[in-house]
Amino acid sequence: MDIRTETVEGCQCVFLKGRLDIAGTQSVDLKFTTLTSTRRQPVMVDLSEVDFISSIGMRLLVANAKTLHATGAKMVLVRPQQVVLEVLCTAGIDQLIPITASASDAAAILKPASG
Amino acid sequence: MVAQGLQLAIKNDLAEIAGVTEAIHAFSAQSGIPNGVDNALQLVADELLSNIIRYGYPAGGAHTITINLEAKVDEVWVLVRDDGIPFNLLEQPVPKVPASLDEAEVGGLGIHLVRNTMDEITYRYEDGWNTVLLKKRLKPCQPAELK
Repeated sequence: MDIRTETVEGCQCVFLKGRLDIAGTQSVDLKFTTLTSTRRQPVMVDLSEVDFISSIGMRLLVANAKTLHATGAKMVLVRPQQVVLEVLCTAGIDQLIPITASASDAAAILKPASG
Repeated sequence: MVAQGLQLAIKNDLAEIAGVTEAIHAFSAQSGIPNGVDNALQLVADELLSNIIRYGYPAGGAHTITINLEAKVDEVWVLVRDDGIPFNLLEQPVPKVPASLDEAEVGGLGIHLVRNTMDEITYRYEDGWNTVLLKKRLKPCQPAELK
């Protein structure tokens, strides 16, 4: 599992690559938390190169989105692959964390919140 | 498609799950199983096995869990057997859908995912073994089936 970050559409974007299964999630857990909820800033999470997600991966996303939410900041999930999107929707994650088809759509959600 | 099968046996060690999902992916490719169904099978194996390994053996010790897959013309069957404590996933309460992140609980989605991913699930506990049999259709329901 790879993780990197860069600025996209004026917002911080965390890019994940690989499988968010048990091993993959454990390998990025600390860094993902550091790059998202610890910063207390709006963040988009690009899932376009994540080809599998299980409940432990969704647990990581929800835990950090929830912490961010408590500080008044948002997380948006961007460009999930179809199979990943289906799992996110089955679990109801789409009702908790916005999911967008593009970084510009994500930025439109995040920028007002960032003031 | 000719009926094909996959038989796996693993130890109760979370590190073994990656090998199972890899084997399922290879089996799906060999059997012509569509990508979405392949992903569903991997997801269900990951969730069931991690649940068994984490919670099924409170007394510890070495145990063997078996996973069998059989691909038929229109469906795939998955059979998971373990000698852990009795656990009927069909009797677990349906998680409450949170209205917001404030109300959201972190975790507890695994069994919910299994139940909502597969088309049929049966469970039995017999002679010290949990047996879960799951079916996934390879094609969506046709309109005639919905009447």
